[in-house]
Amino acid sequence: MDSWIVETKGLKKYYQLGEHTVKALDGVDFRVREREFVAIIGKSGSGKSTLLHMVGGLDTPTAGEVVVAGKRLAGMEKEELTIFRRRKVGFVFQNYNLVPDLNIYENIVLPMELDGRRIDRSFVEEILELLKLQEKKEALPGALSGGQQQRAAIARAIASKPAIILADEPTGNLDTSTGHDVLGLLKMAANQFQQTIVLITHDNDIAQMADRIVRIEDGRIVKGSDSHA
Amino acid sequence: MLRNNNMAVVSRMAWKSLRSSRRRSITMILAVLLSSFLLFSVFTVGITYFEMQRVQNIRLSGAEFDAIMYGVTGEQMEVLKQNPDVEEIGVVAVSGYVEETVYDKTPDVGLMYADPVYWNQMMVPARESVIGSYPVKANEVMATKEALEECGFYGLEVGDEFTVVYGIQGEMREQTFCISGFWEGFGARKVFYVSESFYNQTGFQVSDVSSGRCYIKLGKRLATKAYQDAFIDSMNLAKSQRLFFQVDIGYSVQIFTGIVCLVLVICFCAYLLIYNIMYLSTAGNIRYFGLLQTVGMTGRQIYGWMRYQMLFIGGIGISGGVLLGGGLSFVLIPEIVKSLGIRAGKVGGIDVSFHPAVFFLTVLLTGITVFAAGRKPARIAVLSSPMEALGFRPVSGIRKNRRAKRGRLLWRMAKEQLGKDKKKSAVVIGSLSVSLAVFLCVVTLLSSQGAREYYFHFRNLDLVLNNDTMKKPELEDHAEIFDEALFDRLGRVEGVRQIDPVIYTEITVPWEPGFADRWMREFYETWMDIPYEDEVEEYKEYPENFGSVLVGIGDADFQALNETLEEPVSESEFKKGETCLLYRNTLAFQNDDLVGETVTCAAYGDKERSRAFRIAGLTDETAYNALATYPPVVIVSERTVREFAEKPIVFKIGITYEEEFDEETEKEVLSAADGISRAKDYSYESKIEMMKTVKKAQGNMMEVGISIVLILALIGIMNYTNTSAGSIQSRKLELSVMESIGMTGKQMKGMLALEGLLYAAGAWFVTLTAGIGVTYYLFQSMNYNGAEFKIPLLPTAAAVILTLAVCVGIPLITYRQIEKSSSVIERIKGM
Repeated sequence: MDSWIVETKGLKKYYQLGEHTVKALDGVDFRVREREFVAIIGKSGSGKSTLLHMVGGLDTPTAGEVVVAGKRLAGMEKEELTIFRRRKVGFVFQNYNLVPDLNIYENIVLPMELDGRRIDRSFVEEILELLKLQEKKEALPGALSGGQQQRAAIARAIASKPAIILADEPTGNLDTSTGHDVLGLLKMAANQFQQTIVLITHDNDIAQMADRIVRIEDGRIVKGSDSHA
Repeated sequence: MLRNNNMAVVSRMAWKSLRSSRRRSITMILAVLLSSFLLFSVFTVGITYFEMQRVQNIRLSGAEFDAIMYGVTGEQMEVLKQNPDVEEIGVVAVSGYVEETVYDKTPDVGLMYADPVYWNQMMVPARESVIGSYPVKANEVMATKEALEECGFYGLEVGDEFTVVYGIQGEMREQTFCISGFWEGFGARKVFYVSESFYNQTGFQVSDVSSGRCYIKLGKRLATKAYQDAFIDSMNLAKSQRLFFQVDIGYSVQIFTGIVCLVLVICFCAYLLIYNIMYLSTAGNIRYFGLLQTVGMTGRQIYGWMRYQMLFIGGIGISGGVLLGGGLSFVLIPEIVKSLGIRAGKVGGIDVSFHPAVFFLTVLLTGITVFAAGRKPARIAVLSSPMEALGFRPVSGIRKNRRAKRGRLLWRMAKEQLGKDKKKSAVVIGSLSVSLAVFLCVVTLLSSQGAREYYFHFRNLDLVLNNDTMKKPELEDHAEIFDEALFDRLGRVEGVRQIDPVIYTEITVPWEPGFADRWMREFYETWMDIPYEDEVEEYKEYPENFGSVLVGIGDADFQALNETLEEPVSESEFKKGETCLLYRNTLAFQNDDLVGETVTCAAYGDKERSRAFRIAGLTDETAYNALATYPPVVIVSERTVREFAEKPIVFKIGITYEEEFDEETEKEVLSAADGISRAKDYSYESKIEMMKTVKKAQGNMMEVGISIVLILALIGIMNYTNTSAGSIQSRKLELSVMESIGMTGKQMKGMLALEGLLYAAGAWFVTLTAGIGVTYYLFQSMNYNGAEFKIPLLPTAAAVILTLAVCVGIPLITYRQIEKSSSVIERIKGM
């Protein structure tokens, strides 16, 4: 039997926009195996980001169920959800979202510090080495290029050894070549540290790097909801 | 370049922008309104406070004048009349005193003559009512109820007569006076004002230092020390003459400087308040101006756009603020004071002063600040390229690297926040500190002006019982009226902590060529019209004609007196009776002139029994002057007097209560004193009565002062609230990112609370260092009461707690609002 790290059932997210109801997600069943690299593709407004946010516990569904690493997110209190997020989920955002006042090293270890965990320095050094950030660990985010900042965001996502890494268009702000480099590094790091990745992109070339591609249209998965199911 | 007349478009756009961003426009209008309201109120109420303080000083002095001169000659009067700065000259002359009546052998009532200027002009602001008219005939007096009661006369009316024995220059006369009128009000109350014809009969001259009091009112409110010195010099004073400026004009330059500093600091607080609120919308405005530039709006047009908006916002805000301020100052404050039931009626009734300068200052200051704050985003936008302006985000410095910091995460992050934008942190801490320093300063000044801070005795005793037989000119009339039974009864009063009798015995200071001769020579030169040489032989032969007193004081009196001396003296030598202190009696002697010399004291009427004391120091403190004498009043320890004299007399008893202002204890003490056999021969001075007199003189001054403090506190809180809320708003993204990667609500609140705590600590650090320094300077410059610099504990503690609550609470409330407004991902995406 397969072990699912992410599982959603009948996931719905509706927004009220004046008199109209926007169905960002409309009954999504979606599963991800451990150590799998899944790419979600779809047009702008198709609901891919909304799905990612639901899985990451950043947003709450209108209906349906999300289970991540065996935990049902629906019943969790806000505080509980935040703790769950810092322990089980690593985020990589399009805008990097590094804390501008902390240097790269501090940004990377921040989730662990917030969790009161002892920092595994050798592991962090290993990640810095792998993502070619050794020289930049004392730099502030504002002093780095987009590619470097995104590598730092990936390092932050990996460092706390989460159950899953959720990447929301991580190459969206990068040029093609840098985007490929960054994603290559993400995949390599995930392999090395045996982590699961769910990636959102609208770039087919990038999506090809994934183990599985899921296409989403108008809030519904139209292809690849579970390749082994 | 061709002139492009398109300001109509600009004004239309500015107007549309104001309407479309209604919420932002209303916020800015409210900010301006609030600031101008606070500024207007604080100035109006402040002026009222100082006006009331002036009235208080007039009341405590008994008349409106700026300087008083003891003894004035015809030539000096001419000099005064020629001086263009002198507005009014009033003369009051001592015309004797009431020696006794059939009801009281020791009444403490004087006879005075007041000329029409003093009575009809200078005294008016200190008087509450007058019935009848000022005496014209020699047998008429203008009386007060207190003076009549002191003499033992009750229930007399205008036209009634009473008979007294009065003394003039050692001569006793009996006279029946007719009451020509009564007056009530402030100042010396135990006085009968007599007519000019009576005064002319007394033989006193206004040129006599012991009789003439010349009151001078100047046409100017500011007088520097140099001006005062020159004024005194112009009067060419004789050695015995004295000219004193009233404390408020004497310190007028310092007070004025203090007020100007205070006003500037308040203006600065208000400036920061408006600026901070207006600056909150800076980033948004810059992006908006960037957008306008991309569609072709020039810098000049942007400035025009900004001017239209600021004119609109400033116009509405300032008008509303001034109207509201007027409402508060002229309607609300008097109503609140009235509703509290505090001294309604004519005396003490609140009368808010308005000065047009307040209106102009408020409009000017608020207007300038509104334009300065509004111009800033326009300037940034015009100086940068349209695209830069379009993407403007507030930056937090230009650092590229920093070492990882150690320590607890939340503390580290909170400290980091303060260090990130040092300029902004400095402005926040600075504006908070300025408000706190002004608050401390005003509270300290107010508490020093409190009715309870006025002393009648340098030891701040609660009550002093005086032996009035001492006022009798004949030595044989001086008697012991405070018996052992009284001391027993006083000792049993529960609320009494300490009883300090002051005793004395009559002595002579026999002539000798050294100290005694020098003292008497100086005394004659200063105080007497006849030369020393005319009387020195009599002094040598009959020293008992030149009697003096040996005063004995206890340990507590000695210790208090010793603290006031230029150089403290040895307690053990004083207690053993080896040394003494002399009352200087305003003679020109300095400590070095007399310290170390010996004064010989002989028992009065028994020159064989004498004792010599080494002079340890000179004092100007009048509390131990048992009698006014030619030779010095010699102050020694109580034990020494008891060793020297068989039956020394207690001439006053100082009493300290367990609790200050304890009316019950005072009642019991006075009842014990009334139990002595010669109860009519004692009088008392009470701190409680002093406090009540000052309170009455102050009217609602304190309540008005408290209104100023509250307005200032509000300015400070509003200022921090705006800056802090703005700062949290601008960090919305950063905080949301931290939340997204796992910072819990508890951690977030902990970090924000720590930041607030650091701001509060920083503000208090600045306040307690630089702020106290400024407060001390302002306090000393305005402290003409000579009050002790004492920061009041309760308001300060309240301010500390309030600062902490505001500094910690505001960021938390702001964050809570942000958190409630949208989900974390919406905030991150800027939705």
